[in-house]
Formats: sequence, C-alpha cells, structure tokens
Amino acid sequence: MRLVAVSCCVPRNSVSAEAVYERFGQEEVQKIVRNSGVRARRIVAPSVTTSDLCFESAQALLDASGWDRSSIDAVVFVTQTPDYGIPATSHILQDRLGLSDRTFCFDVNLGCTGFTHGLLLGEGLLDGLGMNRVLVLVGDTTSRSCSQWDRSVCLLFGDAGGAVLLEREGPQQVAGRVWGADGSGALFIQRPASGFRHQATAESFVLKETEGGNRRSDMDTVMDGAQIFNFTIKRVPPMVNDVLAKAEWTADEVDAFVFHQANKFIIDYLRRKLKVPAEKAPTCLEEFGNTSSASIPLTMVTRMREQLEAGPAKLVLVGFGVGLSWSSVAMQTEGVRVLPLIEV
Amino acid sequence: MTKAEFIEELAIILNEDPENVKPETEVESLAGWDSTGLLGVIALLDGDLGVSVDVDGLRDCRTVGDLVDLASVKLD
Repeated sequence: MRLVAVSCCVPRNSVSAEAVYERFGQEEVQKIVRNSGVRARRIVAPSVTTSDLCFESAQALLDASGWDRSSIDAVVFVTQTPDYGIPATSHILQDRLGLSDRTFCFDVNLGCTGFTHGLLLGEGLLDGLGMNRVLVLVGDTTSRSCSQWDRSVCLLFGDAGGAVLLEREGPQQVAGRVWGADGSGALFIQRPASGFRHQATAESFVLKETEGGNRRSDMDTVMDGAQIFNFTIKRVPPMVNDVLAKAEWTADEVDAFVFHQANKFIIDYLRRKLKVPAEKAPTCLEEFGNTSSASIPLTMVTRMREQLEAGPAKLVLVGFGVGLSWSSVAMQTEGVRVLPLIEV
Repeated sequence: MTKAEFIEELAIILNEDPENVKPETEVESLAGWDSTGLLGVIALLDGDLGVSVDVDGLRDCRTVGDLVDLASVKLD
C-alpha cells in the first residue's frame, strides 16, 4: 500500500481558552490548559457535520490527484459523529463526491484510533479484495456532541475532517502493524443515550449536574480521563516497541512518531517513556485541540508538510483511546502529496 | 524512593506545601486532588515507581497514607 496524498479541513471559527474564562473561571481554565496544552480549538457552526469537513478534504484531494473519480474503489468513513444513525454517511459522501456506483462504502465507529485503524482497513481492502484505490475519510465534530458546560471535555476537543488516498500500485510502504482492543473499558468514553441500550427520551436531553460542578446530559460525550490515561500508559509504550520490532526499525531511525493528539500531558508522558525527542513528535493540539480521528492527518498537514513532500520518511503512527482500542502503523512514505489546510 | 520522598512528590503534584502533607492528611482536603491531580499521581505511581495502577482503587484512597500503601512495595 502507498499513501498517496493527505488533506484536512477545519472550520475557520477558532475559539481560544480565554473565551471561556467567564464560564469556568480564569484560574480553572488556565490550570486545564497547562495540563491539556489546548490553547484554541476550531468549532463548527451548528449546521455543519463531519461529513461536510471530510467532503471538502476529499474534494480537494481528488482534484489535486487528477485521478478519474470512477477509479476510487472504496470509501471508508471513520467517525463518531455521522450525519445519521441510518444510513451510513459514506454513501452520502459517495454521491456528493461523484464516485462510481461500484464504490464499496462503509462507516466505522472509532475516534482516537480512527486514522490508524482506517489505514489498516484501507490496506486490507487493497490487498484482500484486490482494490486499486481507496479513500479513507476521518473526523469528528465533537463540539456538537459534548456539553459546553462540561470542562472535562469541552475545553479539549476541536472539530476537523481529514482524507487520505491509498493506492495498491507502487512500493509497499507499511513495514509494521499492531492493533488491539479492551472492551472492559468500553464505557470510559461514551455517549450514554446515543444508541439502543439506553434509548433517548426527553429526559436524556436534560442537563444534569455531575462531578466537579460539570453539567451534561445523557446525549453528551462523557470521558473518564484518569482511566483513559491509565490505559494509555499501560498499552501504548509496549505497542510502539512492538511495531518497531515488527518493522525491524530502531527508534533512532524513525523520522517522526505521530501520536493521536489526545492531550499534552499524555503525549509528553509517552515521549518521555519512549525516549522520543520533542522534535520527532510533532503536535498540533495546541492550536486545534484533540481532533479525534483527524488528529494524525491534521498534524501531517499543519506540522509535517515539507518533510512529507520532500522525500522518504519513516513514520510511526500511533492511535489509542475510545473502545478501548489501540493501533499503530510503521510506514515509510515517499513524497506524499500534502495539501494546504482547508478552512471553511 | 523513600516514603518521605514519595510524600514530597505527592505534595508537589497536588500543589501543596510538603509541610502540610502527612500520612493522615485526607486527600479530599488537598486543593490539587482533582481530575488533573489524579493524572499526576498515576504518572508518579506508574512512571516513576513502576506500580500498576487500578484507578478505582486510587479513587478509593481516603488519606495520603492510603496512597503510600499503593506505592509501598516499590518504596525503599
């Protein structure tokens, strides 16, 4: 599999941490920002969905590639904020993007590991089903699925949608793959009334006071940060060492470790544990927040464009979080086309 | 790391004057014992001491002494 091109789209509306001083108090917000590293986030208008952001990314990518749109064999749309419960949003994107009626479309419900899982699924479609070209779309508009009165989430998450083009032709770029799941922690990040286990009623929309004075409804995303951190520090360092071993690479020869942009505290901790210098672990969360499955492509677009376009690069991509899930891909890219950040 | 050093590290993480942090100190009385402080304590236990953390067990701790007990196998 070859990573041909990548693009990302964010809403133009940037909301700074200062903007919520009034809501939560300056001291409290500053304390959260010191920990999370998130100084600003991009927030969509209430009418904009993840698929709108991914559509812009994909449209630009397909235009730039010069490929005939009928040559796209599959659309994988990874999101936790789809347009509808039914149908899968990938079909809506197939139509909007003018792709052929032979396109294989499906949605995947993942966040933090969405990009790395998405790449692996893309590779599986190319190798397993003999496809030639796959479009993987990732992203979330988490601002629309969390309470603006819950400082444990609303100061952290930003909105973004990314797209990558994968092709079977060309050198095999993937050198190592690792993945895993631990459903015993499935509810550590969840939206309680978002499905059929606890089907939404009028009561589900009512904001309720919870721990620490946060307010949210059962329709909102709730996250147990301590459990997620604890899971991450147990699972991610061994995973990264495992993917390096599978690729037969040393950490020193890796050009960049691109971590899911969970928060600064977690990334700093992982860097120290893995002895990865800061210059080899680019971050974009300070400007865009935790952008869920779009965080790795957004880091590529906003922090690694020259490096990726210039020539060969050995990358270790690292996803971890909701599910609980984790996956990592070691790949040697070669002259990836990286489009400038799209703002809408 | 000795028990005294561990308590001093806890104090720094939880934004308290080490003089005020004793084994009998109730964790709820510490200003930094919140969701952010919890991450720091997990990092101290896991990263610096190699103690595998059970978050529910950590949340059940009532005093600084309970936190010391979690770390005790790795303390000098």
